[in-house]
Amino acid sequence: MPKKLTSGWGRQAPLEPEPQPEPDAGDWWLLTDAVVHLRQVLAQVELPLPTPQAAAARQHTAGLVAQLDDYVIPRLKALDAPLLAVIGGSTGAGKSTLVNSLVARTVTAPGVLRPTTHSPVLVFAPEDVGWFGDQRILPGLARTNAASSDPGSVQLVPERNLATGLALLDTPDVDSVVAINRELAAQLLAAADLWIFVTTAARYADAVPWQVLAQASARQASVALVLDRVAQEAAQEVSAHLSSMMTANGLEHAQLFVIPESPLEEGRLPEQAIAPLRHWLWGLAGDSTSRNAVVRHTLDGALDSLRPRVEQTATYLQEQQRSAEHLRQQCQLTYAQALQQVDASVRGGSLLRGEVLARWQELVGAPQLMHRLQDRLSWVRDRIGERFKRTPSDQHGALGTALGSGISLIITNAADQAAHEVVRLWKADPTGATLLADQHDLGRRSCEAEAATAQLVNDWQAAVLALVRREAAAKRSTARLLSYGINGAGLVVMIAVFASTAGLTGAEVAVAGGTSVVGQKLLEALLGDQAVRDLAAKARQDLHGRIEVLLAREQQRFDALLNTDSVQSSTLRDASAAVERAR
Amino acid sequence: MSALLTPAPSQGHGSGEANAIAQDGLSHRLVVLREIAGLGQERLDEPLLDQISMVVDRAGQRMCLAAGHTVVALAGSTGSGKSSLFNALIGQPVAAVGVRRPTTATASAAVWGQLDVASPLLDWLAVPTRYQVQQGDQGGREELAGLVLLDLPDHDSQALAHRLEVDRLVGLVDLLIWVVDPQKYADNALHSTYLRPLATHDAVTVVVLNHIDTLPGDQARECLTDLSRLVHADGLPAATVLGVSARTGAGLAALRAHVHDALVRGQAMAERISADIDQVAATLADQVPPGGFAPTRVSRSQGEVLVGQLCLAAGAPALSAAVEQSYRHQARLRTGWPVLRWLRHLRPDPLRRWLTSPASQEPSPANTSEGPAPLAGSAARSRVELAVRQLVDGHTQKAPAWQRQALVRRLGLDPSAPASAGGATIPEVMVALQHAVGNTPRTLPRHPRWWTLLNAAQWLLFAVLLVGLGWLSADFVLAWFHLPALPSVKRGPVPLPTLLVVVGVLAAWLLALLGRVLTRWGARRAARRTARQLRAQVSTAAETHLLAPLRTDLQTSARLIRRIREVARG
Repeated sequence: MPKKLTSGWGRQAPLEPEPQPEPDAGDWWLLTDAVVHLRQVLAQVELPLPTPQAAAARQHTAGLVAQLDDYVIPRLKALDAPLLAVIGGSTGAGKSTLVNSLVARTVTAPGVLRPTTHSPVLVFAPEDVGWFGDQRILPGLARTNAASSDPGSVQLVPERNLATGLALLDTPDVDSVVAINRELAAQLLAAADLWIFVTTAARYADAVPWQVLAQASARQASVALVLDRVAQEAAQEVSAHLSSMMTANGLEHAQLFVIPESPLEEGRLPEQAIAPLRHWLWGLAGDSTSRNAVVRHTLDGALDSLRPRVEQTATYLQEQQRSAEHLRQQCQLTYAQALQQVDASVRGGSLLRGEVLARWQELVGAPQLMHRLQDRLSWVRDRIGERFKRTPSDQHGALGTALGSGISLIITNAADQAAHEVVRLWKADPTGATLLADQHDLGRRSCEAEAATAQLVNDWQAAVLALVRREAAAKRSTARLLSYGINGAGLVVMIAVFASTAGLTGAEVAVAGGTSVVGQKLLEALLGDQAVRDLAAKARQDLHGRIEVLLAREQQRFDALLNTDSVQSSTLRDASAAVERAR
Repeated sequence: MSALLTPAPSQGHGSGEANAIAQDGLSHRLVVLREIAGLGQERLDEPLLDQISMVVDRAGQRMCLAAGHTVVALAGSTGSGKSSLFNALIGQPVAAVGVRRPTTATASAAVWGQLDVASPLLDWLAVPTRYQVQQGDQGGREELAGLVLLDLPDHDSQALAHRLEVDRLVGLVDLLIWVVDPQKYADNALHSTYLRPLATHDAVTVVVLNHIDTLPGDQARECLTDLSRLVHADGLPAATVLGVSARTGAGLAALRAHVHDALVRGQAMAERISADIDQVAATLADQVPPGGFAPTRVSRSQGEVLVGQLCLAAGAPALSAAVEQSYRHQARLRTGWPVLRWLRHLRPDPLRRWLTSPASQEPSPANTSEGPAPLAGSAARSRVELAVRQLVDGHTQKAPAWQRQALVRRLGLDPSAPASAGGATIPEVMVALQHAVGNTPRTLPRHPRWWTLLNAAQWLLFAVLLVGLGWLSADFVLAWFHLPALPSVKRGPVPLPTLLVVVGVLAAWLLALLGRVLTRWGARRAARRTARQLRAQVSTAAETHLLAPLRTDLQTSARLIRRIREVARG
């Protein structure tokens, strides 16, 4: 059961001198350095993927960084700084009234309109101005001397009535309807040495404040509860119920102050109602030992909480990386399949149908006369060689164009299909779906794909010709091939690329040769030639490489959505472990 | 003290006729919504379709159940005084009012009128705790007959079960009264969890600021103004904001009057359902592009482009060329100079190659039903797929994403789609193209009449040549054997046999020349005719397999969009 209206600090009785040895100065600096390092590592954490937990993950990490900046690091650097008591609570719980009553002067304006306090108000004794005038704590907030409604600033109020060594921070509502107020309240509470949580008889069972309190309990922050506006007749039942709720939520050591509902005097609570709380607070301010105990309790709690919280961030980070990896793999696999499909089309001989076949037959002709008269292969080959040489270049061109347009159609279609498939797969994943939400062009090939494919085909055909020319200079075995001329030889090599993988099968010959026996013989003769097959293998390799590059560029559009240069979770864990070691 | 800051919307006053019209409008919207659910299958997202079905089902159930009753719920945060207000409205301390939080665990109902009449409705609402308001009760007035008042658990309670119960009932009741108090009226839990998502329900929402007796002087008015501002900012401009005090009874009359008004108008249920429809309609409206209409027609030029690409994929230019060559081949065989004609027989007919090459073979049932799809991965198939994709893109430029997705699936571009959803379309098109190619050349008329004429003329000239040659040979032989020569016949200075030979050769050559010109012309014509016929066949295939499904799909989508706009307009 919480102790009521008594001075005393829970189990550890912090008002008593604590038998805790003063920290060794060297160790202390080591710890501070470790925490500062952890802060730097945390700053490099990036959580850019819109996973379902992304918002929670970013908020968690931002909260962690903010607490390190606002509280842990400044407190580690100056253990003897005044005690910062943060007054937090629900809307309309009477936080501002409480602050005004404590210092017996209206320093912040309460009101019936919600939310009332916009920018936080920091009240401290004039002697402590050195501690609060600069950006030592809460470096993210600007300092002002006048009341303002800017949630990005904090109003400084030096107050003579306040005890030296104590500062009060009046915060916005933890459950405010304005989001920025909620976030600010959470940030300020995380910066407190002591939480003074204000609630009322009407709302002490609300869900939101208890979530905040559960957090405080989990971080072992020093907490005091003020139950405000309690009707006389309900005081017993409500405070008993609240006490049991506190026990159930791990706050059994927290102080509970009950303030009965009473008419305000000049907007302030009556003196006797506020006296126990003030007495307790002033006592803490005056006694450096008990004040240190409160400070150390919260600081230890905060340091204790670092490890699980950093671990949580690391888990979020890993989850992001896993999610990215999953999406990247889907993308990679799809494009790999696309490449495979193009490869299969290239090797399977399906290109040598339709128009290509017609052009080939136009080029080769099919003189059955020759078959009748002469069946000797060499003779046929020589005759065909002459034909190749003599055929006007536009027939060469027609075959080359047909081959080129065939392969570029296959590549373009594969690029289209892969993009569509990746979008389909990603849409099934919540993260992927969010990533794609405003990317309308990803479901098809990129706009430069068509031009790139045309370029690819041109480059490849030129490369094949160059290859033939180079090989011709180097080897005698290609002499016969070259009897068809460079262009003819290039075409033969290209046909060979699309004809087969490992040797020529009857079906492919039939496809390529049609019914013409001579065409068939010719192909067998041409493609059976080891020199041609070597060249074809090289040309196919070259084509494969070019297609791979093109598809990789297509895939890059998806990968770009997943790229981050975040710090690794292991680095984060190392930094957290270093803090543990330094303690 | 009470303040009626926002007047209740003054629509449909009282008369039964107006009610009937409103009911008709509502039924119509529900019918439209049901149609949207049907049209949206395979198009809209699954959760959205579920939401639509839920709204339609719930509305149907509610309209069947005791339409004469109006269900009013008191919802609010812990300690805002729902139960006190509940008791105050009934005039009897029915609900236990406690200082311990949270108090009300399950909802309880109070019925003005016969309990058994309302019990199917209460069963549907699954509210077990029921109380019949008697004539003798302070609040049991005749004017509130037909009212079913619910006292809900706290929406911001620490107990999750309470919150779930609130969420369930908030979805079912006709009129929602949110009870807040001066401390908690700006709580985020109320505004972000309930008021903002229910912004479409402002006609059936009342926000009541309880405990106004605790606010001194002008503060009550200020507080109410601020509450109205927040409610307005939440997007509920038509919601009624009232100040009451359950303890002193201030403002209760205004609240009772508001409820009474809702009862008399009998519109709360319809307005509630209407608001539900508005809510789902707002989500639906996001699925539809703003302004402009999605195209429902396939333009002529788009169809032409598609057919052109399909023809290319079928190999139309090569086929035309083959037909042209074949025509020339045949023409030379028929009309060439008989002396050299036999040489032509040594060459094959280029068209025969086409007709027997595997690419144009008749597809047997075996290779369509099993094994890889015809020509999978080939250049032709790639060309077809690209053309179809271009067609889809052309029609979904400004269309919502779901429409493109549906079209892609319908036209067989999604390899993961089952055959029933269009997965077999492209293979079907490929088969149809093969058919078209296989059929076309056979329909060509062969042997034009001029071939016969030319042929006869050639043979005649050949005969003339032979006669001339025979004559000369006879002369030669007779001279060799010193036999008397045949009588010399002369036409002018040239002997007749020589003339016959020269004419036989020269005329044949000229005739062959004429034949070539005619052949070229005829071949071109035949090629053009082939191209035309192939195109016609391909057009039919494109129409059957691609354009008709596309048109149907576009029309369905357009209908869906029209219906969505209709329901979104209200």
